[in-house]
Amino acid sequence: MIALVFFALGGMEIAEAPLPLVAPRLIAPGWDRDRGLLGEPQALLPEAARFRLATDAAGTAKFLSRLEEPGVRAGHLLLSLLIDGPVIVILCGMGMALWRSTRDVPDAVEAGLRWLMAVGWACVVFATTFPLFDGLRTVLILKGIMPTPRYLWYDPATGGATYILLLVAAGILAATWTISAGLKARADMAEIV
Amino acid sequence: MPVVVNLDVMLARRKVRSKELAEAIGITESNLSLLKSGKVKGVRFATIAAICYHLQCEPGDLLAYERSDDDRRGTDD
Repeated sequence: MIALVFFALGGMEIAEAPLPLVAPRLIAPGWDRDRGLLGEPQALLPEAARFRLATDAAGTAKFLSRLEEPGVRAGHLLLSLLIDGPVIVILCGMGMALWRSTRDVPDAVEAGLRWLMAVGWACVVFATTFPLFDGLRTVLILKGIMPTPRYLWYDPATGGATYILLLVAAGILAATWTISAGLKARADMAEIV
Repeated sequence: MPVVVNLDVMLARRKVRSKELAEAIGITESNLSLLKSGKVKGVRFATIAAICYHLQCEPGDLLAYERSDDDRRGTDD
């Protein structure tokens, strides 16, 4: 059951992946009772940029138009895929780990641990690459809208989040290695009478 | 395998059945069968001691070594 939740979340990430190319205004979609399906691409921006756009209607319109330029769409898609790829691996990997390890078959736990290990490494990849790709994306979609650094807009808040994620990844990997070693030791002990 | 398990020989000499010994020393018959055939990675000292106690023998009566150059270095596997 919990595995299905992770698969559903992973599926949503996969479904949203092409939005920068096909419907950039629907990025970060939500449902409004009166206006229907709405996006909020500003959610991709650092807090300082969001505040600035919130008080600048013309700037917001220019931002939304920039998202729809063909070159920006392609670059935005590429960077978003690089950011979201590990997230999809994390969510679907958690689903697979839970599903494989709870089946009533021999070596089910070992099969689930392999996926958990992949989740741990995907966390490491996400935590280490997110600031770079997110910084590049921010500059790409804000160029000409407001003053930005030349290549990378690094938000210190992102650094804090990625540090926590690295700790989580270390925890997942350590737990996976410990359980794997325990299972191997148990298997070895089973052959000692 | 250079270490040969002679448990079946001792069982025959003492006229004890595998089932009786397994019950007496507290391991399963299948594990005792694996031990007799040498298909185990190791034997606990406690198991050897219990077998020696019940069969009134020495560890050397149960295990024998056939010299092999493969044993020049021990391995974990």
